[in-house]
Amino acid sequence: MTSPKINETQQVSPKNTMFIIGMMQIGVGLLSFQRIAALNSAQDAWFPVLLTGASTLIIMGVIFRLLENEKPYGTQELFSMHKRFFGTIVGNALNVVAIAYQFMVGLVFLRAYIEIINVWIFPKLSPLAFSFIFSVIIWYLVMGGFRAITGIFYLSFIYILPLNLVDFYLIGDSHLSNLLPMLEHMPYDYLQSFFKMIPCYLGFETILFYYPFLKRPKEAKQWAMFGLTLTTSVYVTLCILGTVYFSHGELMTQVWPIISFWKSIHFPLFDRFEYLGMILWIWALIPSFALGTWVVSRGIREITGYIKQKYALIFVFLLNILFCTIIHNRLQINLILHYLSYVGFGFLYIYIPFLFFWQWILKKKRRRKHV
Amino acid sequence: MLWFKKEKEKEKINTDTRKTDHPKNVRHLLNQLKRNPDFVHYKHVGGSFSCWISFFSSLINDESIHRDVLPFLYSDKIRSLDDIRKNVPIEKMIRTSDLKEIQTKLMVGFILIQIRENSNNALLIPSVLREGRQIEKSEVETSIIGAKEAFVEAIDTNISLIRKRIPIPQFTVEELRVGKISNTRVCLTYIDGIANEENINTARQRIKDLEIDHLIDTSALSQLISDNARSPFPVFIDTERPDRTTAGLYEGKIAVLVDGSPNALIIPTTLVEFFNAFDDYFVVWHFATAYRLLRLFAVAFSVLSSATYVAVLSFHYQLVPTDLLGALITSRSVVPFSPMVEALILEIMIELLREAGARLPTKVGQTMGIVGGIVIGTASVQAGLTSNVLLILVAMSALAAFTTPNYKMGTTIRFLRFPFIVAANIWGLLGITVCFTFFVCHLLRLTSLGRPFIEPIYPLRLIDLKDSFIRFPYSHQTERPMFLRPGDPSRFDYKRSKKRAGIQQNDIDE
Amino acid sequence: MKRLISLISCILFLALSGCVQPSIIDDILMAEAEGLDYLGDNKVLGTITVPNYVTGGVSGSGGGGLPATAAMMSSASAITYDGKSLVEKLQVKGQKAIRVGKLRVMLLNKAYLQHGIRKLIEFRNQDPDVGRDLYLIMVDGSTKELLEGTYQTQIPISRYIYDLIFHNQEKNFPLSNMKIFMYKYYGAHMNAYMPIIKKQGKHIVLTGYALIENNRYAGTVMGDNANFIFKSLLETVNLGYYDYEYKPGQHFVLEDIQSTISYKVKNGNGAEPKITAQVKMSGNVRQGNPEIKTKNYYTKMKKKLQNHLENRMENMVAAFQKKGVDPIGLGDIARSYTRHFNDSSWEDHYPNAQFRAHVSIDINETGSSEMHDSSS
Repeated sequence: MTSPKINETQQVSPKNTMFIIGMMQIGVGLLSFQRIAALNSAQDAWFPVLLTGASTLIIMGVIFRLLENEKPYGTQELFSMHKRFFGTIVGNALNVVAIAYQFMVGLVFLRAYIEIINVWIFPKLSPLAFSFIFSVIIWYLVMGGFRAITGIFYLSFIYILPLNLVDFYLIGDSHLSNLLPMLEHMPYDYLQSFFKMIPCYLGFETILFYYPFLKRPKEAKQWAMFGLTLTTSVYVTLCILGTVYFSHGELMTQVWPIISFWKSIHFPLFDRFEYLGMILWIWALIPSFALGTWVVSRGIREITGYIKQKYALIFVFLLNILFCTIIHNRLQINLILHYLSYVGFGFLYIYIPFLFFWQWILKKKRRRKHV
Repeated sequence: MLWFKKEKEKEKINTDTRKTDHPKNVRHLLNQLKRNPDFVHYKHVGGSFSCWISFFSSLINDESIHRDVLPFLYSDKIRSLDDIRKNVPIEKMIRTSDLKEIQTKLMVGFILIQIRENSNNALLIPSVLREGRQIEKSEVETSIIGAKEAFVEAIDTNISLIRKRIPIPQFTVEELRVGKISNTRVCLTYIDGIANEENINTARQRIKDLEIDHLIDTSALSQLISDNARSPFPVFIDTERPDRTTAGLYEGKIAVLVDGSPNALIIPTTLVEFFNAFDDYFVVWHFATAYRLLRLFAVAFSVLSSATYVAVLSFHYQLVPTDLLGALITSRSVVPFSPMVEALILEIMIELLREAGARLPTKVGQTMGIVGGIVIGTASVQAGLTSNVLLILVAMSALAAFTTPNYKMGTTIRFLRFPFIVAANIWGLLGITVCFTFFVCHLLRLTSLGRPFIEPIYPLRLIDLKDSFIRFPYSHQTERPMFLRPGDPSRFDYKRSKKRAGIQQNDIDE
Repeated sequence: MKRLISLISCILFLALSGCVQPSIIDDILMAEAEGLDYLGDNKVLGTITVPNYVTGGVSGSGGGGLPATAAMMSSASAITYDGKSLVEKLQVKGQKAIRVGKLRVMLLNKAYLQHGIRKLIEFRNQDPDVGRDLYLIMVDGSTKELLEGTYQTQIPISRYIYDLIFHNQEKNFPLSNMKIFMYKYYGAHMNAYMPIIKKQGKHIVLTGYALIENNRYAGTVMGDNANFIFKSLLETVNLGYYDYEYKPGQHFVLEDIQSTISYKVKNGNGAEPKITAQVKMSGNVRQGNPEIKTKNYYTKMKKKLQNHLENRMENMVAAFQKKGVDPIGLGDIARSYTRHFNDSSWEDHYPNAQFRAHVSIDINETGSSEMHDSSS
């Protein structure tokens, strides 16, 4: 089946974990989260945003323990873990669910981006054409292996981060009093916002799949935590910026508040920054999509055991193009996003701790047998 | 060698037809060569010794043969071939009876001496005519400060130019032969102990494995051994400057020389190095950094400017500042074409000018430039073929492309524009980004001798960043580039260098 | 085989993606100003103007394309209904596609404001094409007449209006572009306002501000330096000036005024909330009666001016309270100062709120002549 050891030439340095996690979490969700976060907790939205960010750190800790504990038993990744925990049949069934989830995440990202382009720039851009060209490019990238994918994560990190800094342009138009009075809401409001923010932070769990590709994985932990902290700080600052820049009533009318941010920014040669911003945002999409398809195609190879990853990859892309064409309005996208957020929540906050617990039980059992 | 083997096998199968073409013995060979007018073959009859002498008059050094070889044959001391060997003051004479060797040596300027005309037993005396260009000033990679010498076509001269600059025994020259027919000399040079073993092995292997009949130039070699033959990007630098080559060798790179080519191939390289002129090392680091950044900006500008023009004017009119709208629209309003056609016309015109300038003799070429630049440019605007603004943009971007120090990379940069322009016409800025993404993916996957091509950007290596887009002062360049994985990574000790420079100071005025 | 696949994909790519609609910069008409006159009964007379770039001609261009002085459509109007985009309606009059991406000013007449602007604002907010530095302006009179009128200046009317407002808002008039309008329009406990312009002979003048309450016209801020008072209540002033008539016929002018304002609210949920505004001003005096340059007079005048400004500010807020409009956003300020702010009762308490302004003025210099006491 699969080679248990990954060749060192295909492994990447652990500091790349930071870029991967950072860019997985910054996606199309970032463009619209300000409204969603403020929906229930108005001027205090930054607090639940911060809370969700903090909770990802805890989950990340659990994931790392889970992976590190797996070391004596085989490949440290979710697919083989499932098989070891639950047997081949149940394990593979769970693997199918996992890759289906990853597939849907990538798909919805792509489709949501096309939707933004349709609304703001090219109303007539056909999803088929775009997803096709996009898939061809990502296919070319993924064929370069995990190293190339990591490279694109790193580069997009370099491109996207300054794009977020541009938003500080607007600090002159801010109304700081909008943040007052602080922490006025009920815990229930925060909880709702907390839950609504989870989909934005999703994506860091992919480390369950690429962990064996990291050199010196122990060092990766600190970089992963650093990446999570970085994205949390990006989300919190942008959330605060959104609160002080828009009045609450206006924020509620903005579907993509960040793009409205960009609308007010002028550069000497580019009068309207939002066009550049949105188009450069494709760089937030490329790496997550590439990693998503890589995970899915790898999963197909792991489950079947005989389909080569490169053939599985083509299949995944064809499926992507197909679904992108089928989904044709915002309602459907929102519906899928809605369900995905439930699945993501369940996966991270319930299933991962459960797996950790299960692993502990197995360990106990084994020890008892030995005794 | 391979060629002979194969041909021998063929010969076995089909001896009759091949008989005339391939000599089976010395007599046969000589008969074949006698057909050439520049082949000299005669019997020398001396007092005590007579022999057959044959050589190519066009390949041997006339002076040396009359001074150092022929007079000795009249000497009484000489009675056999071995005696010649003892008495003639020329080194590296070969005593052989191998037909193959006789043939190859004859073809490179050896004198063949036999006792009897048909005897395989022969003495080969080297008297190679070294006629070639004098070492001249570099023409392609000119520099204002620094050494002016450039490589010439003769490989031995080139090696001497390098060896003069690396006076240590560790400097190694490995000779390989490439080309089934041409059998061209290819020299792999590196500094043993600094260059990475793996790199040397890979390079050697790639050159040895070449399946080709003849090799003319380093440029051909660089394409043949490149990691991705389909890539438009050159992955090895070719330079005509011995000083640049030497600097590369000191960093731990390998230089490949090909006989007959006035260029050295420096392998492996990174993308950034293509945009570093060697002059950068001769000016203070502030300006070196500024010029490097300027050149990188020029590359971006050159690739993207006309494409951005097409995208913005075709799709994103909102992006144009209101004050600029008037200028753009007035200059565009008389042009009957779409922005893409307009841009293509101008770009192709510029390419034509460049190509014509390159093919014509220097003096005519200059006139071409003036005629093209001023007359055609102005006329095409007045005729309403293109707009003023675009003319400025395209001329600027052509200028920017020529700031690239490496000619081959410059060519790549200029041609990259075309896919960008087409993409811009299809999807505007989105198309440009998609096209850009594709090239970035391509560069990410590209390797140079197995080393990542866009290092130090990815994988990020801070040590190598010190001499890439920016150049740190020499005192900070304590380590050799990491991407080469050099045998000895450290150049010198930073603390000691600081101490010697007397920079450490306890307090003011102390 | 591989080549065939790539060839097919290339063709497919070109075929599929040919559908993006281009708007080549010289093949479109860019509407830069849009005017709406309400005619009653949900009918609206809409006018757009398009700057005519080609009329000027291109120097040095001889052939091809358009003749150098081609007359393009420069303005058009048509009757449509409320909340509908004008572009489709007017397209029949334009020889090229009309685009609104460069819209810079949007003019509405008083009747339109009285009719209500919700539909229009919703539409503008949804339209991604238009930038956020657009000016929404009320016209005193007919927008069609204003847009189609002739003026001393040759520059397109849209830029004339835009520059006029932009320049003045750097000085004495409160900022009021789309960004700020939307903030105030959608925000709770605050009301939006827009500048008023008027055609006066061969000029356009900026006269004051129209207040919007509950998406309808609710009075104006106008006259005798009122804009400066309004601006200093709303935001930081950087380059203001104030002409103060301290005695009938005797003036002095405070120039280059820097002014900041900070509010404090007490008892925000009570029946009579107390709002205090602290205004700090500094400026120069260069023009005015020579007598104010004497030392005694100078301090006296400063006091007088402070009291005068305080009175004007308090009067202005009182007028707002009377009308029930809150362009300053005092309600929002009260909300930010009050824990568990009672949103619903604020509307009742607002007219009873006590507003006090404290102005402190600092005069930096009085020009290049010495300040001396003439009496000594």
